[in-house]
Amino acid sequence: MTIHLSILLFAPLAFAAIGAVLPHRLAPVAGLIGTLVSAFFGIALLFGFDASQPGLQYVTDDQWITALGIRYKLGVDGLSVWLVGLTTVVFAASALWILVRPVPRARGFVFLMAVAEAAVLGAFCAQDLGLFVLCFDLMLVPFLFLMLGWGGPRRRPATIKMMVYTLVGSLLMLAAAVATAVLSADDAGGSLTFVLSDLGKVTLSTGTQRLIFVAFALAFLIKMPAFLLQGWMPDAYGQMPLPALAVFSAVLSKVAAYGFLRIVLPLFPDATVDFQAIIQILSVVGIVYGSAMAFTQTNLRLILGYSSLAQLSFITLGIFSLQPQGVQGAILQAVTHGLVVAPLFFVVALVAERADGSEDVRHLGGMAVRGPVMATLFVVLAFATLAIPGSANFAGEFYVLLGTFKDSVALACVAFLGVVMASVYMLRAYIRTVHNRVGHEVHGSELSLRDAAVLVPLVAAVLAFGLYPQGALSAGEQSVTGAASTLARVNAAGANGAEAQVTP
Amino acid sequence: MSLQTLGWLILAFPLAGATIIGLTFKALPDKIHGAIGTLAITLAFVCSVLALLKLTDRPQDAREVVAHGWDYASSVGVDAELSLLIDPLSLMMCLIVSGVSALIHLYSTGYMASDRGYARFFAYLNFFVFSMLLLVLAGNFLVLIVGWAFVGAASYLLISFWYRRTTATRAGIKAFVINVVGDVGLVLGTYFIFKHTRSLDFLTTFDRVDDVFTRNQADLVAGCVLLLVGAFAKSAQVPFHTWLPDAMEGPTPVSALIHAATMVTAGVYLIARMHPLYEQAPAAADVGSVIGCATLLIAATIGLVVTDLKRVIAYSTMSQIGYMIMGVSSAAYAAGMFHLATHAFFKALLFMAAGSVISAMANLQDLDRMGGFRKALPFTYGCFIVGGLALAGVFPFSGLFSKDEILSIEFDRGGWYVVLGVLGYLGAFLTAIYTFRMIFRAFHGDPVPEAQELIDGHLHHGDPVNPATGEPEDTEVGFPGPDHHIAERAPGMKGAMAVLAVGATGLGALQIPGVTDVVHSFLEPTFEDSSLYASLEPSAAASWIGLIAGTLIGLAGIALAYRLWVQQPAAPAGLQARFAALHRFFVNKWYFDELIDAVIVRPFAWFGRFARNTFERLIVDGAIVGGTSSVVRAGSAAVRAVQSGFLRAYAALLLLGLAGLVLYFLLSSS
Repeated sequence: MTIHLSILLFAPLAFAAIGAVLPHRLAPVAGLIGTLVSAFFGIALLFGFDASQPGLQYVTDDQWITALGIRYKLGVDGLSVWLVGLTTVVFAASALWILVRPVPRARGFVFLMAVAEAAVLGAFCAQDLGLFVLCFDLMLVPFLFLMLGWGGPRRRPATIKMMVYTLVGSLLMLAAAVATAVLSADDAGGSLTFVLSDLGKVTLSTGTQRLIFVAFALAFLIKMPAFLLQGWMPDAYGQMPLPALAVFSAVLSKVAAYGFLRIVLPLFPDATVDFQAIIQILSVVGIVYGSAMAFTQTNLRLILGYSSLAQLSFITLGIFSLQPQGVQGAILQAVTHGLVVAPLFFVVALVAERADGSEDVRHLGGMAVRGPVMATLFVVLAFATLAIPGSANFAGEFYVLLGTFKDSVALACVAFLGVVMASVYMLRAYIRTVHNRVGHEVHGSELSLRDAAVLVPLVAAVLAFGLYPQGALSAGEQSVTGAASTLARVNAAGANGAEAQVTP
Repeated sequence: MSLQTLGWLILAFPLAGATIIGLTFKALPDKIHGAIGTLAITLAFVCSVLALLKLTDRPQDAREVVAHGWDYASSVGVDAELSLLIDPLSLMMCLIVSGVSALIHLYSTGYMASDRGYARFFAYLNFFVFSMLLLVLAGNFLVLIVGWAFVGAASYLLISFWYRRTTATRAGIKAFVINVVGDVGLVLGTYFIFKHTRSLDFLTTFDRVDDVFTRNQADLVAGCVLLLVGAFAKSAQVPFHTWLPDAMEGPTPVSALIHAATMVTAGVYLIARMHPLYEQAPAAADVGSVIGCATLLIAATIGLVVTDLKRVIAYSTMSQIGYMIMGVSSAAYAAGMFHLATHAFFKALLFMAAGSVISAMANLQDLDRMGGFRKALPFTYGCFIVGGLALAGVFPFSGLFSKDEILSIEFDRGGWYVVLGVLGYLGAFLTAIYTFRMIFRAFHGDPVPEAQELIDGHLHHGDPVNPATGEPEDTEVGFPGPDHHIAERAPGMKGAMAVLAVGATGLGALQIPGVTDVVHSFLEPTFEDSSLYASLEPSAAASWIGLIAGTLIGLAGIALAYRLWVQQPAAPAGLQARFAALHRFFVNKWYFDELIDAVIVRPFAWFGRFARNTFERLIVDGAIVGGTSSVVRAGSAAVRAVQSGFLRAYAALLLLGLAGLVLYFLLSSS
C-alpha cells in the first residue's frame, strides 16, 4: 500500500478545520475522524514498513522555499516509524477522550490539538533541517494556547515560564540550523541546502560542531526536560488540561530525544563523541534526581512529571552510550514510555474525578474497592512504568542499560539505582491512590464504558508490547546499526584513541 | 505429545486460568472461579507428570530438551528468544511447584470461601503459578528474568491482597522493592556474563563458560555474586531477608505457597541451574555457602523468640532455605534440591495447619494468646507434629534425609566446609527447639477460651481487627468473614493437608543412603558437566552416622523444648531475664530493619527532601530561572505591550533572534 506521509500530517488538520465551522458539540467528532484517519495510516505504516531495508521509506520530496534551499522532504526509517505510529495512536486516544468528555469551547481545543499533531508528525517525518526546525517550534505553540485557554487556575505564569524556556531553546536551535546549512554550503562550495541527506555528506570542523552541538542539545534538553533544565515543567504539568498533557508528555519529549538521533548524531559526530561523557553524567544524575523528586511529590501529575524526567534521562543515556544496544533501547523506550504515560494521565483524570478534583495522594485511597477494573488497568500501567521485566518498558530499558554497561559499568550501576527507585515511587503512587483506607473525599466508582473505550485499547497495546517487543526492535535494527557504525568509526579515529566497541 | 508441547502446556494452563478468572470475575459465581483455578493447576501438574514419563523414556544423554518459541527481543547482537529448557532439574521444579500449588489451591477454595476477593485471589494465585513455572522452565537469561520479576509482582499482589490494611500494603511494597533489588542483581549479573559469552541462551552460555572465563576471573565472580544478590533477595537470605516476615500479612495459603514452598526457593534453583558458572567461580560460590550458613543460624535464633505463629514458621523457612543455599553453593546440588522438595511439603503443611489454628482464633496469630488446642483440633495437631518432626529432622521423617545429606556433603568436602556442617547441626538443634516451642505453646497447656469453645462445638467469632496493629478491620475486605471454616473440618482442606502430611513423612524414602538414590540419579543429566557432582558422594556408612546424629540432636532439642514449655512453664521467663540483652537482640531481629533504615532508606529520603526543598528551589528555580526571571518579566511586559496575544510576540521574537543570529554566523563564517 502506498501511504503518503502528507496524509498523516494533514488529515487531522483538515478535519479539525471542518470541525471549526461546525457547532461545538460536533467539533470533537470531526477531530476524532481526522486523528483516526491518521492513526489508520500510522498503523498501516508499521505493517508496511520493510525492516530489512536500511534507508528512508515512504519518501515525499518537493520544492518548498527554493531561495533558502529548504525542501518539503518527508520520510520514515527505523528510527522514526514506530514513533510516528505512537503519535497517531496517542492523538487519536486523546481525541476520543475529548469526544466522550466534552471540553468547553471544543472547536478551539480540537483545532489546536490538530495543529499539534501535524507539527509533531512533521518533526518525526522531516528529512529537511529547515522543516524539522519549523515543526519543532510550531508544535509548542498550540500547547501554550491550550494551557492558557483551558488550563488550571495558575495558568498564566506557567504559560509564560514555559514559553520563555522553550523560546530560548528554539532560538538557539534556529540559529544552529541556519549555521549548519550555511557553513556546510561554504565547506562544500555548493548552494544552500537544508536537506539532511545532503548536510550529512559534509563534515564540519570540530570547533564549529561543538558550538552547534551545544545549541541543539540545549534546545532538545529543555524540551525533554532534562536535569537542570526542568524549571518550567512542574508549573506546566500542573496547569495543562489533562487530554493535552497526555499527548504533551507522551510525544513532545520524544521529538527532542529523536532529534538527537536524527540531527545531532549524524551531522555532528565529532562533537557528539566530545560531549558524550557530559550528557551521560547529566542523564544518570537526572535518573536519580527525577526518581527522588517523584518520590517526594504528592500531586499525581508531578509524580508522573518527574518520573518522565527520569525515564527521558534513560533515553538520552541510551543514545549517548553510542552503542547499538543503547540506541536501540532508546528508540524502543521512547515509544513505550509514550504509550504508557498517556493512559496514566487519563487515569489521573479519572482519579481526580472520584476525589472532588483532587490529584493529591494525601487525599486519595481505597479506590480499588469500588473500581476493581480501573485499579487493574492502573496496576498494569504502574508496573509498565517501573519497567518490571516482561512489561512494555522492560526491553527498552534492558537494551539501554546493556549499551551503557558496555560503555561504562559505573554509569550503568548508578542508572540501576533509578530502576529500584522507580518501583518505590510508582508503587507508592499506586497504593496511595487505590489501596489503603478510602480517602475522606473519595467516592469511588467503577470505570465507565466510555472511559474504558479510551483506556482499554491503550492498555492492551501496552500488554502487547510487553509480550512482543520484537516488532519494534526489528524495525529499528538497520537504522541503528547504520548510526552506530558511523559513531564507531568516529570513536576509533577519535583523538583519545578510545577503543571502538562495535558489535554487529 | 512431544516434550516441547508439554512444556508449553505446563505454562499455558495456569496462564489461561488466570486470564479466564480475571475476565469473568463478575460474570461467573465465585465457586466456579475456585474450580477453574484448581483445575488449571491440576492440569499443569498432569502435564508435568506426563513430561516426566517422556523424559525418563529417553536415554541419559538426551534428557536436555529446548523448546523454541519466538524471537522475543533479539536485535543488534542480543539473542533473546522465548525458549524453554526442559531437563531433569526444571522438571523436578515443575512437579514440586504444580503439585504443591494444586493442593494449596484446593485448600484455598475452603479457606478463602467467605472472602469478598475470592475471584481476585484465584486469578493472582494462578498468575503466580504461571510465573513460577516460567521461571523454572526458562531456557535463557531473559525469560528467567521475566519469570523472576513476575513472581515478585504476584507476590506483591498477594501480600497486599487485603489492601485496605496499611500494614499489608506496606509489607507489599517492602517485599517488592527488595525483590526489585534482586532483579537488578540478576540483570546486572547477566550483563557481566553476556559481555563475555555473547549469548543469553543457557546451554550456549554453559558451553562457553570454560572457554571465555579463566577460573575466578573478576568479571565472572562479579557476575555470579550479582546473581547471588538476586537469589538472596528472592530467597530471603541475609541481609535481604527483612521482607519475608512482613510478608506474612498475606492470606495463609499465600504464605504456604509463595513464602514457603515455591517462590522463596527460586534462589536455590538459580544457583543449581547456574552451576557451571559457579564451578568456574568458586569464590562466588563460597559467598553463597557462607551467607546460607549465616542465614540458617540467624533465622533460627530469631525463631526462638518470635511470638507470632506465622512468623515463627516464616523464620524457619528462612533458616531452611539457608540450608539449601549453603548446599547448592557447596556443590551439594542434588541434596539441596531434595531438601527443597521435602521442605515444600512439610512447610506447606505447617502453614496450612497454622491457618486452621488462626481460623479458630478468629484471625489472631499471637502465640501468647494460644494454648490447649490439642483436643480441639486433633487433626491439625497431628499435622503440626508430622511437619514439626520433619522440620526438626527426626527419623524417619523426610526432612532428616534431605538436610542430613547436605551436611554430610559439607563434611565430605573437608577443609573449612566442615565448619559449615557443624554449624548446620547447631542450627538443627535450634530448629528443633523453636519448632516444638511453637507446637507446645499452641497445643499444650490449658485450653484458651477459643479452644474451649471449639471443644464445646462452637466457632469463635471475634471482632475483626488487624492482628498486627489491633485497629478495627474493614469488614468489606478480608478474612475472616461471618462464616469462616476451620481447615480440619472442611473436606477439601483436610484432604490437601493429608496428602502433604504423607509426603512430609515418606518422601525421605527417595534417598535412603545405601538403599535408594532416586533424586541424585534423576538429576544426573543436568549436572553431568559438573566435576563435583559425581565425586561428592559420602559413603553410606558416613551418611547413616549423620542420620543418627541428626535424629539425636533433633530429639535433644525437642526434649529441651518439652522441659521448658510443658514441664516447667516458668523457666522460659527466668531464662529471658537472665539473658535479657541477648533476648532483646533476637526479638529485634538482630536490628536488620534498623540497619537498612539507617544505611539506605534515610539517606535516600534525605536526598529526596534535599532535592525538593533546597535544590529545586535554589538552583533550578532560583539560579537558573532567576537569571531568566527578568526575561520572564520582560517577556510578559512585551506581551502586554503588543496586546495581541502570545503568538505575535513569539513570532516577533523568533524573527528577531533569527535575524541577529543568521547575520552573526554569516559574517563570522565569511
